[in-house]
Amino acid sequence: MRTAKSVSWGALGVLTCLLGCSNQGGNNGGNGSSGGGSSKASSGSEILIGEYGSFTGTTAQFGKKTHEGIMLALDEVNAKGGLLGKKVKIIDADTASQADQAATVVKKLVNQDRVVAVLGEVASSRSMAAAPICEANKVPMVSPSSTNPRVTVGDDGRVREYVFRVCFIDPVQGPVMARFARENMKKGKAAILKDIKNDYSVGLSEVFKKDFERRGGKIVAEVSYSEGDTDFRAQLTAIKGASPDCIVIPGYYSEVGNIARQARDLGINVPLLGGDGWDDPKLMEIGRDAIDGAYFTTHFSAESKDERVQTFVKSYQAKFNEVPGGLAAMGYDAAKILFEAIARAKSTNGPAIAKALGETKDYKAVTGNITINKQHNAEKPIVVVQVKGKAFKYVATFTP
Amino acid sequence: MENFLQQLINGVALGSVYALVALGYTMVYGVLRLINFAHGDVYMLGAYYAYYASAKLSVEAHPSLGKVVLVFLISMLGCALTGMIIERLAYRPLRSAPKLTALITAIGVSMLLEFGGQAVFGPDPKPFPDLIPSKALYQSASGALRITNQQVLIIGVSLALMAILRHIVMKTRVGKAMRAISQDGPAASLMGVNTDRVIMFTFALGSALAAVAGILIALYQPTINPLMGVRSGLKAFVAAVLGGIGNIPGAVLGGLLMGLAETAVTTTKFSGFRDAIAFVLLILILLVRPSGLLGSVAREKV
Amino acid sequence: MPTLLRRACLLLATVALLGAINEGLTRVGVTYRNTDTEDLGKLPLLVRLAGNPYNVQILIIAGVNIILAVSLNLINGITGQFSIGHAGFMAIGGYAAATLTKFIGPRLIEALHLSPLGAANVLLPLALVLAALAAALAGLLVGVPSLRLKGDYLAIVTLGFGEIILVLIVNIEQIGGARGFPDIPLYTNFFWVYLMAVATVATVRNLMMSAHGRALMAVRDDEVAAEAVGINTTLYKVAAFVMGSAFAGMAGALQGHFIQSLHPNSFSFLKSVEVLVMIVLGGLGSLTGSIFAAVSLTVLQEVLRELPGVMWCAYGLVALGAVTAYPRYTARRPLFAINVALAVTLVWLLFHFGAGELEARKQYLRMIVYSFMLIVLMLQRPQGLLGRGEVSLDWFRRIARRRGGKPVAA
Repeated sequence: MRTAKSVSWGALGVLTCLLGCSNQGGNNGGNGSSGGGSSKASSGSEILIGEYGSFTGTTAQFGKKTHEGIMLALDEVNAKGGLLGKKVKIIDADTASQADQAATVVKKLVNQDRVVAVLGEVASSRSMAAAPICEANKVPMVSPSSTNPRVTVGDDGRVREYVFRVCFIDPVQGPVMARFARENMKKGKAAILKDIKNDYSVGLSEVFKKDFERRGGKIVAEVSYSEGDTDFRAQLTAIKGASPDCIVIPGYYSEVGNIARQARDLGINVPLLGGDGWDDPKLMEIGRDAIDGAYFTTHFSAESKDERVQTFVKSYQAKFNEVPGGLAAMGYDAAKILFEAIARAKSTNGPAIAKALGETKDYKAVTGNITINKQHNAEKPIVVVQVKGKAFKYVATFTP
Repeated sequence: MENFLQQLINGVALGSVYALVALGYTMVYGVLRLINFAHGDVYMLGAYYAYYASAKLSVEAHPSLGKVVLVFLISMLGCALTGMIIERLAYRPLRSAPKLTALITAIGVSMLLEFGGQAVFGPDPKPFPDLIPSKALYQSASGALRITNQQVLIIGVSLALMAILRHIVMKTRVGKAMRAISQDGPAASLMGVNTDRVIMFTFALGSALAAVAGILIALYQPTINPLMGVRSGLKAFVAAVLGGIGNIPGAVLGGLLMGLAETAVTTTKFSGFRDAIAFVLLILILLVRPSGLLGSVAREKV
Repeated sequence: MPTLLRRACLLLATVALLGAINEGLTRVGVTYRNTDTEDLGKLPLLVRLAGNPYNVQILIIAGVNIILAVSLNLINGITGQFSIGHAGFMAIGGYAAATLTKFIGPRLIEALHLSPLGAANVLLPLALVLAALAAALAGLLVGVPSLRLKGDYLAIVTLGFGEIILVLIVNIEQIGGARGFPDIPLYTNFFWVYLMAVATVATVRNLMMSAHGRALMAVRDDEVAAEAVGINTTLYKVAAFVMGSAFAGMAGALQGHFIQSLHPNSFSFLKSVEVLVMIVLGGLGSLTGSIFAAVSLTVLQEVLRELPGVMWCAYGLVALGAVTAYPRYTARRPLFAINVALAVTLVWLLFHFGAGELEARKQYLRMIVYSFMLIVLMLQRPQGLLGRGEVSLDWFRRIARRRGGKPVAA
């Protein structure tokens, strides 16, 4: 019995050690996604770019869709021969929808896998956790869709040299939402239902509130929930009591669908308005009839007649068999802009790439003409879409 | 006034769901003196079994009362089986082991179900089919007060199940056996009670109740995700302790109190503390009455 | 007197050793960083291993986990209390420390004209002291009312307090609330983490060996008897709680200043369970066991990050194989059933989702195996790897003597 026990514990121990050893072998990770067996080949013949995103956890769709966009861009660039004569390889890491995981995996990408640049993340809190690490290690980071201004600008007010984003920021998105609510929807009494667990939601609601009031509107109620909550009836009842004519929900698709259904169940029938956190087909899967007719601001609409958009939509459909959403488009654009900057810099040196990224001007991206400004944010138009059936119908474009 | 009534209904409905889950906790604790951490996850499984059963039976496309009942039964059966398997494999071998060991095992089973659920079902929320479409049963003139059939159903079913459970525990032989085991396990088995079978029955019953709770909440929320059992399970356990663990009416009382307290807090400006209210309430009650509101004071014999 | 002198020398030697290692790591780290990726293979193995910041990261996280495990073992293993809210104390310590370094830090740096190096080595100890005090205070607040409760009730109440602490943190805007506390300066390094780890282990060990330690263990073994013998059980229980939480607070501070941000999500019940798994695996009441388990599980987590999903199935099959190969094992049917279930589940997952999807769900597999391990451990060997014993020089000597055929001295 003793022998049996020790042998079996021993066998498991040996197995674990073997796995551990293969991990330490080279400067690269071991088996699996982080780059094959041979440590020499990694840097010589390939350009390594890191991608960190939430592939699991509550906002798993964010990571998944962005990843698909990035993969499409990767295929395209490698089909044309790669960058600087070498093939491009993306090493991905899962943040599991958690900010401290974001910090840990980015440290790993930068130090262990030795990537030359990093793509990510969608959620602002996670981008903000990773930004100081990229900054300290002089590795450029390009966020596809984080909209909180503090991602590129540190708390001390200084712009982070190595952190960029290819999307608009909330101080720009909020006023567009407010303008749309006042001018297009013609509403004056809004109720805000925000997610206090996330920077994006809180930041966006603040900016919306300021601009809405500036335009003569009134915020009749401001209530909060937490990401992960499933019952919103108490908050909605409180909102109902304030008699708003529209409800603004600057949160993530995972809760918004539910909120819409419960709101209708409580007899609240006023229109709903949201931001780019809504941009995922799951919104309709969960929200069903309740979310039909609601509006939200986002980065891109697949219905655009623009040639670039249509080419992108076709290639995406061919590869993934579905219509691309805003996040996929942003992932694609982020990757392409990064590749282009590397090509322009003619080097894989961090500071050189950062300089080239900062100089991106009028890049013809799928989501509009992108220029990276002094705050390392993208100046580009914002699109408003409406939920109709199982798709997002294009409504208007605003150029701030 | 109407707003207050609406919030009251919301609170009672929420509390009834906690009560249903709390009943399962309290029964198992009464009989085994074990906090079954996995109970909240069995409730989650109930919702998922119903989800897949509805899909297989295409209840949404061709709805019928018979199908809805079938979905309930399938889910209850599934959960009962799950509960029994957990008991047999993870808890029974540890019946004579120290409490900490059993507690840790329970935590292990709970985590297993949670992460297993995420791996198998996927972590993002799934929309639950509209088995019983929500309709307003009563709507006040101004529209501020609106009671739906779902809410009435939840409250009604909880009360009915509590009554049935009370009947089983007080008036049947199995119930008597359960009470005997909870008073003195070894003595009960000396008296001829088949402890193993009775405990298995307790688990099956508690889990089936959890299944019903899971389906009702899934109709009400109306999404399901693998972690839905975590928060609710914990709060339901707190409710059970609040009312006196081992005490069935206590569990229902505790559940209702919790639901009302939580809804009340959400309406004030301290709504951010909503999740903590359950524990604050628990700690206060335990300080004043260590055995819960309706619990019997157990004397420690030296 | 000689003992005091001996102790002082030991302390100085430890500090010097840790400082030297830290300096070495820093230097090697710089070399590593300045080496182009192509040339890394040319560096000597030791330099490559020690210079890689990723490996240093693993070391530091392991150190933090050692502090956590040992401090929780003090409460659960040595004093026999059921505390499953340890992450809450970690959070309090972390946030308290970060508040100091971020808000008051800059002013102190200016006032004392500190260089960046000076800032780290002056502010961090201050922050650690604050973290320990804050967490100790929290431990006191939690301990005093709850320690009247026994067993399960205490567990639930500690769990509750952990959640309450989180909710409180989430609602305080100045420290970032639900969105976390960003941009904490990087003050933690090998030296500080391991200095604190050594301090924690030394303190707890000395405590265990003393009369106070025996009192704690008496409370664990039979509280009523201890009270009857005249031990003030409440005092000791609260003291254990306070000490354990103080150390946890320091661990939280160290972690915060390493990851450079603090998020309420990292201090949830799940984190408390992870620490619990460590001490249970190592053996409740065994210090060396906790240390060993803390390090192993830290390394395991990193190793498993890289593991392709397919390997998990192999792991399951090996576990199954080890069990079936030994009929005596299978006599313990529940264990056998669980191992079969593990293997079958993993294989089914592989076929159902295909290797690609399984990759995406890797994170869950780690926790699934953790849970299985917890259950199997409780069923098969609840006392953990080392039970209540310790690995020490004495132990090695005894083993050697036994092997040599000489009888062990009575």
